[in-house]
Amino acid sequence: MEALGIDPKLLVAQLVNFALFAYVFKRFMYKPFKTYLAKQQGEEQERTRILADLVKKEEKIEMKQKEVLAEARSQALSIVKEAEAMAHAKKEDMLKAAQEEVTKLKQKAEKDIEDDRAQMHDDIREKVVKTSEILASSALRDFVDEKQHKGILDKVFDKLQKTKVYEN
Amino acid sequence: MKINASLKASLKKSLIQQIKNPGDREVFVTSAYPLTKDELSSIKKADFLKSAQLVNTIDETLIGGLVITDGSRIVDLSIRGKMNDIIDSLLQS
Repeated sequence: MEALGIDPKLLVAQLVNFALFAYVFKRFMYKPFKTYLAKQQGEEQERTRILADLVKKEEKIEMKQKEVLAEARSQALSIVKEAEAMAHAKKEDMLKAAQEEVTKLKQKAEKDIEDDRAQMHDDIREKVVKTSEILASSALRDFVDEKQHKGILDKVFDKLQKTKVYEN
Repeated sequence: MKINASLKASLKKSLIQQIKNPGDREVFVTSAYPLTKDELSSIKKADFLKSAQLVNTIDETLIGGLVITDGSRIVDLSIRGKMNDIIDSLLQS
């Protein structure tokens, strides 16, 4: 060995030194580093899981939001339709009431016109009759003198004989 | 309904007089011109005027004919009455 230039003592010392180094390395560096890596990996996995959960939750929230929005739209449409139906019904009622009112007013106006016409007709007839009476009276007064009156009386006497009078 | 006392007394007196003396009742004969005695006699020939005393009154608005007023009974045989009948029928039709 010496011929090869290898010092057995140095070799042993180097071997011991390596063994010590390996032991120290394994004990104080490799294990903590491995533990640290495992811990990091676990934390990474946890983060990934949390992220996945968050994504799922977000998706759920989005879906829920869409459902709520759809429900709100549906309700809004329903409310709008109901309001339209109510407005239409109200409009129909108002139109009907207005038509009834118009019919009543028309009937009243027609009745008033008819009454006025009848009243006017009566007034005119009364005036015509009264005027005719005045004219006839005037003419008869001029025509019936005492002599004419005697002739009338003769007829009256005949009539009087036939007249029956009853007590009330 | 309360009847006026004086009116009631007058009515009672008139009725008693009419019952006791039916011939005393006055009948008013209204004409446009004064009536002669003959004309009044002719009027008196009517059954319901035989026992009455006729009093002639003048109303020129009658135009012609007579109106006989016997108490509450009125017999209108005047031209004015006839005209009023015609006017009433014309106004009522």
